[in-house]
Amino acid sequence: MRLWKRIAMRWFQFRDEVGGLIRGFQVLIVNLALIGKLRPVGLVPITVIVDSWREATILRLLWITQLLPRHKILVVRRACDLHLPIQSNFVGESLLIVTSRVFTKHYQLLASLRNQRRLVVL
Amino acid sequence: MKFIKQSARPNPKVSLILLDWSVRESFHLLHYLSKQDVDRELFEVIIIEYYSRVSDAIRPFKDQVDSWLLLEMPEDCYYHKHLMYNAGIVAAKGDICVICDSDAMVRPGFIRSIITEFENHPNTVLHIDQFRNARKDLYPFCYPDFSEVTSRGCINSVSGKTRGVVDDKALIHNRNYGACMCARRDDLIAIGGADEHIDYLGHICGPYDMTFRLVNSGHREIWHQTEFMYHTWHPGQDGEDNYLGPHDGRHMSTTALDALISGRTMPLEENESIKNLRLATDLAQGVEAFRIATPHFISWQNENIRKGKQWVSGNSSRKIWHGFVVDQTTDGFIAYPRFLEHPDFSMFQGQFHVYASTEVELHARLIDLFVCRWRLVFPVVTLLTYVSRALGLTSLYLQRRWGRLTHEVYT
Repeated sequence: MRLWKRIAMRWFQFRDEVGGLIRGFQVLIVNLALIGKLRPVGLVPITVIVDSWREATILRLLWITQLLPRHKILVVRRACDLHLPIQSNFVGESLLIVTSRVFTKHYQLLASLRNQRRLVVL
Repeated sequence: MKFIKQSARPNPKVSLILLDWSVRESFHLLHYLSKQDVDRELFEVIIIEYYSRVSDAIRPFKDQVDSWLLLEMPEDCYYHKHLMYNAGIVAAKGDICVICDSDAMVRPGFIRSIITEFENHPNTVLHIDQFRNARKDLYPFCYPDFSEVTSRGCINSVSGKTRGVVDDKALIHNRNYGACMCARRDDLIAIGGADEHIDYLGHICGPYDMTFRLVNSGHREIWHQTEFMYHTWHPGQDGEDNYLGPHDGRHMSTTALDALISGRTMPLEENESIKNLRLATDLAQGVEAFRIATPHFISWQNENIRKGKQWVSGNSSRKIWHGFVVDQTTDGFIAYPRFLEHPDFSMFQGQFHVYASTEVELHARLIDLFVCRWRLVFPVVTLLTYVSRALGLTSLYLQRRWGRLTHEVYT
């Protein structure tokens, strides 16, 4: 395969992958912002699960700039980062919010939480 | 539909369902099944051929085949593996159904491992991962030693196990969900069997559709840690030039992933025979009762696939758009943020509902109402994501180069 074709293929692959990441993250931001509007009404505490330090950092930046309300953030890059099945009282009573990408990545851990009705998959 | 052979085994525990759509060149799994360390009466082998070909590749192992069924689908219909899964489930007499590759090698304890696993963990869906070797000198299949398959040319061997079993970072893409899936027949019937939706037509399909729905219905997914399958290279193994349904860019069906995300347990299109078994309305057992829905003969036609009309029938009344659920009603379209579906937020139902007569209008309204205020933030997020991913990939590339230079194996 010619070099320019290989470069183009890699670029499209990179663009599609990053595009998917961005879309998923935008979904998370919009939904968190709308949940923020409901905060005064009084809800259970919320924990957001992301799978990269980048997303966690951006969420914290948005919190510092007061664009998003403050939530606890958990970074789960590998399944071993989180031992949900053995923690029945995981993060107390808080409601967990994950994007569908993170959910499918760690569904074996997170499916049990969904059965407890403590998980929102965006 | 025509039987070449019908099983005479009275009470097998395990039913192996092997598929062909007039493409398989080798069924060497049958050779390894003849060397199992359990009583042959404990398992049966069912071959399902999608078209009408009586494969020459099976003839050398004919004594190992218990049931051999030709579905006799018209030649102008594209293959749909899920239809074959359903035929296999209906034909199976065993308590445990095993859907696996027919051109893989297995060790003598393969069937015993499956039986033991289900005795220890009855409420599970079991998967067995596969070592894959990319050496082309092993084709045509020449019965290599197991150690030969896991050594030079093996692309996923890590410390004697498969990468998918060892690595816990990207499970869905590192594990081979199509290699071998085992579940109780009753459980498979209870979730409506395999989904015959057109999204699973062609190469983007697999038993993981049922795995995900079994997980949604409360079953535990287990990956065997010591038993594996062994696969050697053959042409066309990655589905080149095959029709591809919707997938995530790495050949994982997005329709199956959506089922997992939404918690759906039933298929989008259930096979009538499976439904009859599930509802116990049809007492006729056996594959003679297997029915293929007439519309499939039209919608799966090569001609219609080429026209690109398959996506029309794939449309549903409920869609997800940028984190909003879009429902089609008799008056038009209604959208609301996805988190409102959770019971904790049910009291806020209606607060964020947006109505429109057309889908395009609805999207425009959603952007104006909710997304617009983030107009300045999103480009910054996009830029940060691009930069960090580029840096991450560059670092990974440099690590690999360094590993090669220093003759280390990078995993």
